Amino acid sequence: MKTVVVLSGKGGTGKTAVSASLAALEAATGRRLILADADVDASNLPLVLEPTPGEWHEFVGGERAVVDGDACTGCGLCAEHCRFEAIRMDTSSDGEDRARIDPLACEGCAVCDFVCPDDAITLVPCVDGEWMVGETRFGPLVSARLRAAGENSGKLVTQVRKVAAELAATRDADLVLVDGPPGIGCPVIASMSGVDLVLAVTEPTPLARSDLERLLRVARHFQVRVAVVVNKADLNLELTRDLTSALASEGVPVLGTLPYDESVVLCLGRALSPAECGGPMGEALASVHTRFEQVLNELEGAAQDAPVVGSSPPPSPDSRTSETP
Amino acid sequence: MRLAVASGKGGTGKTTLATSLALVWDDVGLVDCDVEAPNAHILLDPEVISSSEVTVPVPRIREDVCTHCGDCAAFCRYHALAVLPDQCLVFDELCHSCGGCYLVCPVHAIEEIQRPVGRIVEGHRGEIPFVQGILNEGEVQAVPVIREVLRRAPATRDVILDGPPGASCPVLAVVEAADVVLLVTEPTPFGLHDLEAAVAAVKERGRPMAVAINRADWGDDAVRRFCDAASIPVVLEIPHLREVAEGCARAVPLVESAPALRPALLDLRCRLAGLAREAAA
Repeated sequence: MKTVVVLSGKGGTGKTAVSASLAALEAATGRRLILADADVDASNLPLVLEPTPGEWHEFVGGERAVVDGDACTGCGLCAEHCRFEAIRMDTSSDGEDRARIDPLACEGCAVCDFVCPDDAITLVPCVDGEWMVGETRFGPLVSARLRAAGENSGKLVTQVRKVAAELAATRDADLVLVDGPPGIGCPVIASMSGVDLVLAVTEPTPLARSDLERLLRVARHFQVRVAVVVNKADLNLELTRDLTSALASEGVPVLGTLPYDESVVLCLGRALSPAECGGPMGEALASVHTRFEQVLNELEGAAQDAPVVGSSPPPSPDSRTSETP
Repeated sequence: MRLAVASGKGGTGKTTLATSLALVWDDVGLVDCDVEAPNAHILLDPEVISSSEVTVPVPRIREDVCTHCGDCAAFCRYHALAVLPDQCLVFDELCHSCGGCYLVCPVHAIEEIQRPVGRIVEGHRGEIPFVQGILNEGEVQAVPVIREVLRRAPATRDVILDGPPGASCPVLAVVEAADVVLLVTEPTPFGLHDLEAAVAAVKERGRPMAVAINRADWGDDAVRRFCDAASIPVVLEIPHLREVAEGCARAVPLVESAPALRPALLDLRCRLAGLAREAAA
């Protein structure tokens, strides 16, 4: 059983279009799939795969501090110690100062509770979002949505990954395919943790290349293998050639290039992946898929702890800090 | 006016628009707050003047004083500490720098050191001051770097904050610092879905907002209908132009590959400043 996450660095390069298409092509070969949407801020894979809705489960990512106005004596110690600027002292209607906690700024660290001499602060669980398993035409899809202004999106991503892995075990799946978020921070790191392969979808622009290079360095740092697909390749063929040859010299497999295809927008709008629509991108996906399968099979034979090409050595056992390359 | 340029969906054209607004307006600065994937410098091509580190405090245990009582690890909400019989481990990436362990330790065995998590780069393109935040690769938390770059925003009449995509903490940290938010979207089902999420998040912060529709002729009218129903003004519509896409592919700013847009980008300033003023009143 393999897990692949589709990432990009830069947003809008075509992760969801490629994820949905690979799901279609893999399902057509008879592979048992579990699909997951780890872009919990802006979850788009369900729009294409139209899962029959399952039950939404609440997700508690952390806690928030709450003040009991009656117990508060307005000493201000909580505000003094809060490092997230989440506490203000406000004068209430009786003329007395009371602590006021902004739930959007509060990170649930409990320092205010610790320093409060009047036992006026409690930490309460905070529902940050919800997740669901639905059935799609290619297999079950685990997706999630963050509550408005919700925190802990990285933890919700971890929950999506966990549910997908559990489903993969119970349904004896061959492949877990995860549509990932943009960026390189917490949600991305949570989505790439422990995967067999990162499939990076990029485009031939200097902006996307800059972000791709950062993503590649992050993947190396976490010792995760990467393969690349260049989407909208004919927007700048020179940059595509330059990029693919640079990747080849770093030992990063390029699964192929896909053309800029104006019909994709309409296709996705009809809840179809480009692979199901035909069109220039759809046709080019066939050879990308073949190469994808080759790379997955090569992973089969690789030893568990073989180093990723270009990776830094693993941290020594007694190091306590994270090293950024 | 502090203008946050945000979106729900990635790749809708935030940086493309933000940099061109900065090039067209006068007495304006640009702050790149997309610290995970900063790109504004590629389109703006600024001269860099200085670069500095962003650090966060993390605990270090003085093993000669520590009694391994475990109070710090028990207190930590983020599992950033583990206390073994003869050693304490700190997992810096998990630490939220709340200072709790330092307060809780009964023998004052914890000190705080500053750990680098990112960089701030400052410079200018002609008269346009530019500040950029960059999260170090492998770092988990973008928000401390975003807060620092916002602190360094220039004192120009207007400041454009080029934000990250999405609807969670990083975006909200930028929205928090703004007087008005311009959400850039595209008229597609993905664009609409993610715009709805972004609007809900910005509403929580109570900031006035407006929408810019990119590739406006390349989809359906569901986004416009949503904005109408939600009383969110659509202040700009940019048609899909292949020369703009190809221009972006060569790091050519929008206003250079499509100069006919210049008047609309100038008009935008008054409209957005008006929204900010109304909300402040």
